[in-house]
Amino acid sequence: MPRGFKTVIFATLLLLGSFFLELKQKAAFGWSFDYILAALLVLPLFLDFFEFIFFGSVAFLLLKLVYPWSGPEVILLIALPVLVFIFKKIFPWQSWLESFLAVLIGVTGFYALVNPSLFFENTGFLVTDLAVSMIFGWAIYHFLASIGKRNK
Amino acid sequence: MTGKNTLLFIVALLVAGLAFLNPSGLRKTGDFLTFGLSTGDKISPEDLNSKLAVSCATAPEIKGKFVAGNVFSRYPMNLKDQLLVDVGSADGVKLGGAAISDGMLVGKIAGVSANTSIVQTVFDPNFSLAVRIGKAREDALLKGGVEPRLTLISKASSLAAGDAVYSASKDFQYGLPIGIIGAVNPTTQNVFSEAVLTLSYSPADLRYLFLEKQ
Repeated sequence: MPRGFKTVIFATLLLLGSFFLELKQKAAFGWSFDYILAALLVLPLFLDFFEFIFFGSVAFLLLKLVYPWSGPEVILLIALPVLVFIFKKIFPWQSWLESFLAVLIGVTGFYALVNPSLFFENTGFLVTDLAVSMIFGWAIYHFLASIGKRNK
Repeated sequence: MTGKNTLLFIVALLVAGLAFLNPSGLRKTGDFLTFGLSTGDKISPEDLNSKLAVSCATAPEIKGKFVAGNVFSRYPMNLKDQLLVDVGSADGVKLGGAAISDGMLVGKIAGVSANTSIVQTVFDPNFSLAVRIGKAREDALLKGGVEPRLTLISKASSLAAGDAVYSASKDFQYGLPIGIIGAVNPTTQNVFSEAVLTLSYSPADLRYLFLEKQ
């Protein structure tokens, strides 16, 4: 299988996995860490233009299926991976830090734009959420990076 | 454009096209993909109406004032706790009205469109409601969240764990039961006491709701 297909297929499967984790946890406990957001922020780092178009359309369909609401958060959820993809094309810097930075800036920016009061009312949860989302983002980043290395 | 890129582009167009299909056509796929967060099979209107009739038999004051609907989907993120119900203004749903399940107030109707309504539940961090507690009718403010709390309880009150909590907001019918009070926490730092609200259901159990009509 060509490298590109492998990367995009694994990226899509990881996105599905993040949906599974977040929605299962939400159904069980009533809250969840931001696995979907972390996946949407980290996975575009590995994709070329056409892979990203495919990945973006799958993400859009999944979000539409589980999230039939309208609102600024929906637009942000779709816009954030696009911003990551564009940023990566402009600054093709590669480091193990990039997954942490993408999740840290993305999740913080997301809550800052959608509901900044959460920073004051739920600081403890938000810090834990950021930590777990960053670790999740780091894990999927290294998984996809290892797939890429194996196919060189 | 290489063969791989052409294939990815065509599949992407097909996938994106699916997102614009009628939501009801994708209902089963959506239920599968929500991994348990959505509610699975739709309850038939007949069954919903018989459940409403049972509730009306035990609480006659709600008779004729509510319409039954299936919970279609649940807000998947932490910002809010909202439910999407498959009845809307075409069924007479009242914006700002009460949403109840098996006689218990579970939230308020935060949005209404022609065929769907959004219910903000007591688990939403932005939910708040004036309530009364127990036979003494002590006033309190219910604040929503993953663990809903009763706040602004007078320190002079003589409440006990297990006392009933019911609505006292002008927006809803007076006296709709919400839950029972947990242990009261009389803090020394605050002027008022606080308590945990104990509910008889879990948010994941809500498969249908009765929404207030106009």
